[in-house]
Amino acid sequence: MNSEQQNILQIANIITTGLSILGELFMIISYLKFSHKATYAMKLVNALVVSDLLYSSANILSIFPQDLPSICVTEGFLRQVGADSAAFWVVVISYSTYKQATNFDKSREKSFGKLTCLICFFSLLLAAVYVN
Amino acid sequence: MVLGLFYSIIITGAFITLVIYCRLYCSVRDSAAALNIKYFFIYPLILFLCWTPAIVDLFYTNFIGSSTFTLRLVHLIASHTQGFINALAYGAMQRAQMLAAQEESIQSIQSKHSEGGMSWSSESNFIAPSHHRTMSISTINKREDYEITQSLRTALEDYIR
Repeated sequence: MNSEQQNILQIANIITTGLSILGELFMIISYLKFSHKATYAMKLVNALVVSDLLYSSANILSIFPQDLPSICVTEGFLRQVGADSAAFWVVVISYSTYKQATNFDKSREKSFGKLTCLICFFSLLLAAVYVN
Repeated sequence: MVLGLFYSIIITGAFITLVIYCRLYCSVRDSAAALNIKYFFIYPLILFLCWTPAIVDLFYTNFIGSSTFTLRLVHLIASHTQGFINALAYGAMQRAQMLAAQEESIQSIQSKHSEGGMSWSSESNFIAPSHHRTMSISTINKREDYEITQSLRTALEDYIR
């Protein structure tokens, strides 16, 4: 890949990541603004957005020169945590939709905290494995 | 190996969600529930679509030896715009929920009015004849202005007579 193509990739990275971060910030702000009205589904979607924000932060870090190992490690860690937790949250969203559609149970919504802890734990664990 | 593990998690997640949604579509008959499912189906679909070029790029690089510029560009754009597309989906879902809530509130007002023997147009000191009382307020929202104007005119003529 020549330098011109690398420049194009860099520009595409900046534009797409910028758009993503703007979208994610919009969602987080609108969630915080109407947090008193937040439903269980909105909480799940917002958790997915936070994961996406971590992934976008890693993409932003990749713009900087990778000379310092700390930047490289931080980028890798954020990328893995963000992508893995996004995949986990998507599975949780689909499973919750399935359970609530087939057998609605209001008490299931209380499990959000436990789910968050579980997903954070596994994402961090996997990221630590990757980084090491 | 690490990259394979990373992508296998993404692929497994996307596959599980697709299976769940296929089962869900088959089991749910209620149209309102199906609409909700449709909106939540967007998120796994976004994940699947955004990571497909990355997976193709991975396989291409592993089998051919080096990736092409086009494939790398598509991979980069697709995987990096995931957050933006999620935001668009979120906005669309919020709008749909807002419209549904608005429609529901209109229907509840309409049912209250019909139970109380009032017509929707009584607010303007105008009592419509019985065949106009069944007119839905939602038709105003659907901008069927012409029909409403015609029916109002007919009702007014009846009233004057």
